[in-house]
Amino acid sequence: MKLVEIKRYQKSITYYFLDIILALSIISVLASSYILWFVIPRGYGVHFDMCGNEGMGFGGNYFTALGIPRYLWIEIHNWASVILLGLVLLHLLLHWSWLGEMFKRVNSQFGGTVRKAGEQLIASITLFILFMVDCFSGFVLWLMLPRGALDYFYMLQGGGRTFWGLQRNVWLDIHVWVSVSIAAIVIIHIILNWRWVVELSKRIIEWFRGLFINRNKKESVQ
Amino acid sequence: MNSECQSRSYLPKAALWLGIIGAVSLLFFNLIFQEDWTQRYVWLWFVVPLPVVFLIVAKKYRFSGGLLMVLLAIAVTVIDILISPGYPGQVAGKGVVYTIIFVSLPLLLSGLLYIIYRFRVISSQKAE
Repeated sequence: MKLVEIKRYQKSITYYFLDIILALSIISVLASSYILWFVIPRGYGVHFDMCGNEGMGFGGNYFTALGIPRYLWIEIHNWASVILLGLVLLHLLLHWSWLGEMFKRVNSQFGGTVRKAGEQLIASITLFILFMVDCFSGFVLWLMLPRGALDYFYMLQGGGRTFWGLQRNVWLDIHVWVSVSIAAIVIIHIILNWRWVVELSKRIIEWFRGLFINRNKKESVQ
Repeated sequence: MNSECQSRSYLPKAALWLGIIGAVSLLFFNLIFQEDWTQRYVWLWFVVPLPVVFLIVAKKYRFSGGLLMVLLAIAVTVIDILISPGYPGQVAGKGVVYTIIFVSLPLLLSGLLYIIYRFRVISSQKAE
Protein backbone atom coordinates (compact mmCIF):
# COMPACT_ATOMS: atom_id res chain seq x y z
CA MET A 1 0.00 0.00 0.00
CA LYS A 2 1.44 3.37 -1.01
CA LEU A 3 1.25 6.64 0.93
CA VAL A 4 -1.42 7.97 -1.44
CA GLU A 5 -3.48 4.85 -0.80
CA ILE A 6 -3.01 5.21 2.95
CA LYS A 7 -4.43 8.71 2.75
CA ARG A 8 -7.35 7.36 0.74
CA TYR A 9 -7.98 4.62 3.28
CA GLN A 10 -7.15 6.79 6.31
CA LYS A 11 -10.72 6.71 7.58
CA SER A 12 -10.99 2.94 7.17
CA ILE A 13 -7.63 2.39 8.87
CA THR A 14 -8.71 4.56 11.81
CA TYR A 15 -11.92 2.51 12.09
CA TYR A 16 -9.91 -0.70 11.79
CA PHE A 17 -7.58 0.07 14.70
CA LEU A 18 -10.46 1.43 16.79
CA ASP A 19 -12.32 -1.82 16.12
CA ILE A 20 -9.29 -3.80 17.29
CA ILE A 21 -9.28 -1.82 20.56
CA LEU A 22 -13.05 -2.38 20.79
CA ALA A 23 -12.58 -6.13 20.24
CA LEU A 24 -9.87 -6.28 22.93
CA SER A 25 -12.17 -4.41 25.30
CA ILE A 26 -15.03 -6.84 24.57
CA ILE A 27 -12.70 -9.80 25.16
CA SER A 28 -11.56 -8.39 28.53
CA VAL A 29 -15.18 -7.82 29.62
CA LEU A 30 -16.21 -11.31 28.45
CA ALA A 31 -13.21 -12.97 30.12
CA SER A 32 -13.88 -11.24 33.44
CA SER A 33 -17.60 -12.13 33.12
CA TYR A 34 -16.73 -15.77 32.55
CA ILE A 35 -14.47 -15.83 35.61
CA LEU A 36 -17.08 -14.14 37.81
CA TRP A 37 -19.93 -16.30 36.54
CA PHE A 38 -18.34 -19.75 36.31
CA VAL A 39 -14.83 -19.90 37.82
CA ILE A 40 -15.37 -18.11 41.15
CA PRO A 41 -19.15 -17.72 41.34
CA ARG A 42 -21.01 -16.45 44.32
CA GLY A 43 -23.97 -18.30 45.75
CA TYR A 44 -25.02 -20.50 48.60
CA GLY A 45 -24.53 -24.18 47.89
CA VAL A 46 -22.46 -24.13 44.73
CA HIS A 47 -19.01 -25.70 44.66
CA PHE A 48 -19.89 -27.89 47.60
CA ASP A 49 -16.61 -29.79 47.30
CA MET A 50 -14.55 -26.64 47.92
CA CYS A 51 -16.53 -25.00 50.67
CA GLY A 52 -18.57 -27.66 52.44
CA ASN A 53 -22.02 -26.55 53.45
CA GLU A 54 -21.38 -22.88 53.06
CA GLY A 55 -20.72 -22.67 49.35
CA MET A 56 -19.02 -19.56 48.05
CA GLY A 57 -21.62 -17.15 49.32
CA PHE A 58 -19.79 -16.34 52.52
CA GLY A 59 -16.15 -16.24 51.56
CA GLY A 60 -16.52 -16.04 47.80
CA ASN A 61 -14.98 -12.59 47.56
CA TYR A 62 -11.62 -13.89 48.74
CA PHE A 63 -11.36 -16.76 46.28
CA THR A 64 -8.86 -16.09 43.54
CA ALA A 65 -8.62 -16.78 39.82
CA LEU A 66 -5.27 -16.18 38.07
CA GLY A 67 -4.02 -14.78 41.39
CA ILE A 68 -6.66 -12.05 41.55
CA PRO A 69 -9.39 -12.14 44.23
CA ARG A 70 -13.06 -12.03 43.21
CA TYR A 71 -13.71 -8.49 44.42
CA LEU A 72 -10.88 -7.24 42.20
CA TRP A 73 -12.30 -9.19 39.25
CA ILE A 74 -15.57 -7.33 39.86
CA GLU A 75 -13.70 -4.01 39.72
CA ILE A 76 -11.88 -5.08 36.54
CA HIS A 77 -15.21 -6.10 34.99
CA ASN A 78 -16.92 -2.83 35.99
CA TRP A 79 -14.21 -0.52 34.72
CA ALA A 80 -13.55 -2.53 31.57
CA SER A 81 -17.29 -2.21 30.87
CA VAL A 82 -17.16 1.56 31.37
CA ILE A 83 -14.29 1.76 28.85
CA LEU A 84 -16.27 -0.48 26.49
CA LEU A 85 -19.31 1.79 26.80
CA GLY A 86 -17.15 4.78 25.81
CA LEU A 87 -15.70 2.88 22.84
CA VAL A 88 -19.13 1.71 21.69
CA LEU A 89 -20.45 5.29 21.79
CA LEU A 90 -17.38 6.44 19.82
CA HIS A 91 -17.94 3.60 17.33
CA LEU A 92 -21.57 4.69 16.94
CA LEU A 93 -20.58 8.34 16.51
CA LEU A 94 -18.01 7.47 13.81
CA HIS A 95 -20.54 5.30 11.96
CA TRP A 96 -23.40 7.78 12.29
CA SER A 97 -23.32 8.76 8.62
CA TRP A 98 -23.14 5.06 7.63
CA LEU A 99 -26.23 4.37 9.72
CA GLY A 100 -28.11 7.25 8.06
CA GLU A 101 -27.09 6.02 4.63
CA MET A 102 -28.19 2.46 5.43
CA PHE A 103 -31.57 3.72 6.68
CA LYS A 104 -32.07 5.59 3.41
CA ARG A 105 -31.04 2.61 1.28
CA VAL A 106 -33.22 0.17 3.17
CA ASN A 107 -36.16 2.59 3.05
CA SER A 108 -35.77 3.30 -0.67
CA GLN A 109 -36.04 -0.34 -1.73
CA PHE A 110 -35.99 -3.75 -0.20
CA GLY A 111 -34.18 -6.60 -1.93
CA GLY A 112 -31.03 -7.34 -3.89
CA THR A 113 -27.87 -5.82 -2.50
CA VAL A 114 -29.91 -3.75 -0.06
CA ARG A 115 -30.77 -6.97 1.77
CA LYS A 116 -27.25 -7.21 3.19
CA ALA A 117 -27.39 -3.59 4.28
CA GLY A 118 -30.69 -4.38 6.00
CA GLU A 119 -29.10 -7.31 7.82
CA GLN A 120 -26.17 -5.18 8.95
CA LEU A 121 -28.54 -2.44 10.08
CA ILE A 122 -30.77 -4.81 12.07
CA ALA A 123 -27.73 -6.53 13.67
CA SER A 124 -26.16 -3.16 14.60
CA ILE A 125 -29.33 -1.68 16.07
CA THR A 126 -30.17 -4.87 18.02
CA LEU A 127 -26.62 -5.00 19.30
CA PHE A 128 -26.75 -1.38 20.45
CA ILE A 129 -30.14 -1.76 22.18
CA LEU A 130 -29.04 -4.94 23.97
CA PHE A 131 -25.75 -3.32 24.95
CA MET A 132 -27.62 -0.37 26.49
CA VAL A 133 -29.90 -2.78 28.42
CA ASP A 134 -26.82 -4.63 29.65
CA CYS A 135 -25.07 -1.42 30.67
CA PHE A 136 -28.17 -0.25 32.53
CA SER A 137 -28.57 -3.57 34.37
CA GLY A 138 -24.83 -3.48 35.11
CA PHE A 139 -25.10 0.00 36.61
CA VAL A 140 -28.09 -1.13 38.70
CA LEU A 141 -26.05 -4.05 40.06
CA TRP A 142 -23.01 -1.87 40.65
CA LEU A 143 -24.52 1.33 42.01
CA MET A 144 -28.21 0.89 42.92
CA LEU A 145 -28.20 -2.61 44.43
CA PRO A 146 -24.55 -3.26 45.33
CA ARG A 147 -23.49 -6.45 47.04
CA GLY A 148 -22.68 -6.62 50.71
CA ALA A 149 -25.98 -5.45 52.23
CA LEU A 150 -26.42 -8.79 54.00
CA ASP A 151 -29.77 -9.44 52.41
CA TYR A 152 -28.75 -12.57 50.52
CA PHE A 153 -31.13 -14.89 52.37
CA TYR A 154 -33.94 -12.30 52.27
CA MET A 155 -33.32 -12.15 48.53
CA LEU A 156 -33.67 -15.92 48.19
CA GLN A 157 -36.99 -15.71 50.06
CA GLY A 158 -38.18 -12.87 47.83
CA GLY A 159 -37.78 -10.08 50.41
CA GLY A 160 -34.50 -8.50 49.30
CA ARG A 161 -33.76 -4.98 48.04
CA THR A 162 -35.48 -4.04 44.82
CA PHE A 163 -35.06 -1.54 42.00
CA TRP A 164 -38.10 -0.98 39.78
CA GLY A 165 -39.73 -3.91 41.56
CA LEU A 166 -36.99 -6.38 40.67
CA GLN A 167 -34.61 -7.97 43.14
CA ARG A 168 -30.85 -8.02 42.69
CA ASN A 169 -30.81 -11.66 41.53
CA VAL A 170 -33.35 -10.88 38.77
CA TRP A 171 -31.24 -7.92 37.59
CA LEU A 172 -28.22 -10.23 37.62
CA ASP A 173 -30.07 -12.89 35.58
CA ILE A 174 -31.14 -10.25 33.02
CA HIS A 175 -27.59 -8.89 32.92
CA VAL A 176 -25.97 -12.27 32.23
CA TRP A 177 -28.50 -13.48 29.66
CA VAL A 178 -28.54 -10.22 27.73
CA SER A 179 -24.73 -10.35 27.64
CA VAL A 180 -24.94 -13.89 26.19
CA SER A 181 -27.24 -12.56 23.43
CA ILE A 182 -24.78 -9.71 22.85
CA ALA A 183 -21.93 -12.21 22.45
CA ALA A 184 -23.99 -14.12 19.87
CA ILE A 185 -24.92 -10.98 17.91
CA VAL A 186 -21.29 -9.75 18.01
CA ILE A 187 -20.40 -13.01 16.21
CA ILE A 188 -23.09 -12.28 13.59
CA HIS A 189 -21.89 -8.65 13.31
CA ILE A 190 -18.34 -9.89 12.63
CA ILE A 191 -19.58 -12.46 10.08
CA LEU A 192 -21.54 -9.75 8.24
CA ASN A 193 -18.50 -7.45 8.12
CA TRP A 194 -15.97 -10.24 7.58
CA ARG A 195 -15.09 -9.25 4.00
CA TRP A 196 -14.26 -5.68 5.10
CA VAL A 197 -12.09 -7.00 7.98
CA VAL A 198 -10.18 -9.42 5.72
CA GLU A 199 -9.63 -6.92 2.88
CA LEU A 200 -8.40 -4.16 5.17
CA SER A 201 -6.21 -6.59 7.14
CA LYS A 202 -4.58 -7.69 3.87
CA ARG A 203 -3.92 -4.08 2.84
CA ILE A 204 -2.44 -3.17 6.24
CA ILE A 205 -0.24 -6.29 6.30
CA GLU A 206 0.91 -5.45 2.75
CA TRP A 207 1.75 -1.92 3.86
CA PHE A 208 3.76 -3.14 6.85
CA ARG A 209 5.55 -5.69 4.66
CA GLY A 210 6.30 -2.98 2.11
CA LEU A 211 7.80 -0.78 4.83
CA PHE A 212 10.04 -3.61 5.99
CA ILE A 213 11.15 -4.62 2.48
CA ASN A 214 11.88 -1.00 1.47
CA ARG A 215 13.97 -0.48 4.58
CA ASN A 216 15.97 -3.64 3.82
CA LYS A 217 16.53 -2.45 0.23
CA LYS A 218 17.75 0.96 1.41
CA GLU A 219 20.14 -0.64 3.89
CA SER A 220 21.54 -3.00 1.22
CA VAL A 221 22.08 -0.02 -1.21
CA GLN A 222 23.93 1.92 1.48
CA MET B 1 -43.42 -13.19 -7.85
CA ASN B 2 -40.01 -11.60 -7.71
CA SER B 3 -40.65 -9.88 -4.38
CA GLU B 4 -42.17 -13.10 -3.08
CA CYS B 5 -38.98 -14.99 -3.94
CA GLN B 6 -36.88 -12.33 -2.23
CA SER B 7 -38.92 -12.40 0.96
CA ARG B 8 -38.87 -16.19 0.89
CA SER B 9 -35.09 -16.36 0.50
CA TYR B 10 -34.85 -14.16 3.57
CA LEU B 11 -36.17 -16.95 5.79
CA PRO B 12 -33.14 -19.34 5.81
CA LYS B 13 -30.79 -16.42 6.51
CA ALA B 14 -32.94 -15.26 9.44
CA ALA B 15 -33.18 -18.88 10.61
CA LEU B 16 -29.38 -19.18 10.47
CA TRP B 17 -28.83 -16.02 12.55
CA LEU B 18 -31.40 -17.15 15.12
CA GLY B 19 -29.76 -20.57 15.17
CA ILE B 20 -26.37 -19.00 15.93
CA ILE B 21 -27.92 -17.01 18.80
CA GLY B 22 -29.52 -20.23 20.10
CA ALA B 23 -26.25 -22.14 19.80
CA VAL B 24 -24.30 -19.55 21.83
CA SER B 25 -27.08 -19.41 24.44
CA LEU B 26 -27.10 -23.21 24.68
CA LEU B 27 -23.39 -23.16 25.43
CA PHE B 28 -23.99 -20.86 28.41
CA PHE B 29 -27.02 -22.92 29.47
CA ASN B 30 -24.67 -25.89 29.77
CA LEU B 31 -22.14 -23.80 31.69
CA ILE B 32 -24.88 -23.02 34.23
CA PHE B 33 -25.50 -26.74 34.61
CA GLN B 34 -21.77 -27.12 35.24
CA GLU B 35 -22.42 -25.24 38.51
CA ASP B 36 -23.96 -28.39 39.88
CA TRP B 37 -21.34 -29.45 42.41
CA THR B 38 -21.96 -33.19 42.06
CA GLN B 39 -21.02 -33.12 38.35
CA ARG B 40 -24.17 -35.05 37.44
CA TYR B 41 -24.68 -33.23 34.18
CA VAL B 42 -21.29 -33.55 32.53
CA TRP B 43 -23.04 -35.44 29.71
CA LEU B 44 -24.81 -32.20 28.77
CA TRP B 45 -21.60 -31.09 27.05
CA PHE B 46 -22.52 -33.47 24.25
CA VAL B 47 -25.47 -31.18 23.53
CA VAL B 48 -23.24 -28.16 22.75
CA PRO B 49 -22.36 -29.01 19.11
CA LEU B 50 -25.90 -30.19 18.31
CA PRO B 51 -27.33 -26.85 17.07
CA VAL B 52 -24.29 -26.37 14.83
CA VAL B 53 -24.78 -29.88 13.40
CA PHE B 54 -28.51 -29.21 12.95
CA LEU B 55 -27.77 -25.91 11.17
CA ILE B 56 -25.47 -27.77 8.79
CA VAL B 57 -28.22 -30.38 8.22
CA ALA B 58 -30.75 -27.57 7.67
CA LYS B 59 -28.57 -26.06 4.96
CA LYS B 60 -29.12 -29.15 2.83
CA TYR B 61 -32.37 -30.56 4.24
CA ARG B 62 -34.45 -27.59 5.39
CA PHE B 63 -37.34 -29.55 6.85
CA SER B 64 -35.28 -32.16 8.75
CA GLY B 65 -32.86 -29.55 10.10
CA GLY B 66 -35.75 -27.32 11.16
CA LEU B 67 -37.54 -30.17 12.85
CA LEU B 68 -34.37 -31.12 14.75
CA MET B 69 -33.98 -27.50 15.91
CA VAL B 70 -37.59 -27.46 17.16
CA LEU B 71 -37.04 -30.73 19.03
CA LEU B 72 -33.84 -29.39 20.57
CA ALA B 73 -35.68 -26.25 21.73
CA ILE B 74 -38.33 -28.39 23.44
CA ALA B 75 -35.67 -30.72 24.92
CA VAL B 76 -33.78 -27.79 26.46
CA THR B 77 -36.89 -26.55 28.27
CA VAL B 78 -37.72 -30.07 29.46
CA ILE B 79 -34.13 -30.57 30.71
CA ASP B 80 -34.31 -27.32 32.67
CA ILE B 81 -37.63 -28.27 34.26
CA LEU B 82 -36.70 -31.87 35.08
CA ILE B 83 -33.02 -31.77 36.09
CA SER B 84 -32.37 -28.33 37.49
CA PRO B 85 -28.96 -27.93 39.15
CA GLY B 86 -30.17 -25.37 41.68
CA TYR B 87 -32.90 -22.85 42.25
CA PRO B 88 -33.30 -19.28 40.93
CA GLY B 89 -31.11 -16.82 42.82
CA GLN B 90 -28.63 -19.52 43.71
CA VAL B 91 -26.85 -19.57 40.37
CA ALA B 92 -26.76 -16.48 38.13
CA GLY B 93 -28.89 -17.00 35.05
CA LYS B 94 -30.74 -19.99 36.47
CA GLY B 95 -34.48 -20.10 35.81
CA VAL B 96 -36.82 -21.75 33.37
CA VAL B 97 -38.15 -18.39 32.12
CA TYR B 98 -34.66 -17.32 31.04
CA THR B 99 -34.06 -20.71 29.44
CA ILE B 100 -37.27 -20.39 27.42
CA ILE B 101 -36.65 -16.78 26.35
CA PHE B 102 -32.92 -16.87 25.64
CA VAL B 103 -32.25 -20.51 24.64
CA SER B 104 -35.42 -22.29 23.50
CA LEU B 105 -37.08 -19.36 21.70
CA PRO B 106 -34.22 -18.62 19.24
CA LEU B 107 -33.82 -22.35 18.53
CA LEU B 108 -37.57 -22.79 18.08
CA LEU B 109 -37.91 -19.76 15.80
CA SER B 110 -34.92 -20.90 13.78
CA GLY B 111 -36.46 -24.35 13.30
CA LEU B 112 -39.89 -22.96 12.45
CA LEU B 113 -38.45 -20.57 9.87
CA TYR B 114 -36.65 -23.45 8.15
CA ILE B 115 -39.87 -25.50 8.12
CA ILE B 116 -41.96 -22.54 6.82
CA TYR B 117 -39.39 -21.93 4.11
CA ARG B 118 -39.55 -25.57 3.02
CA PHE B 119 -43.37 -25.47 2.84
CA ARG B 120 -43.31 -22.23 0.87
CA VAL B 121 -40.87 -23.71 -1.64
CA ILE B 122 -43.12 -26.77 -2.03
CA SER B 123 -46.25 -24.63 -2.49
CA SER B 124 -44.55 -22.38 -5.07
CA GLN B 125 -43.33 -25.46 -6.97
CA LYS B 126 -46.88 -26.83 -7.00
CA ALA B 127 -48.22 -23.49 -8.23
CA GLU B 128 -45.73 -23.50 -11.11
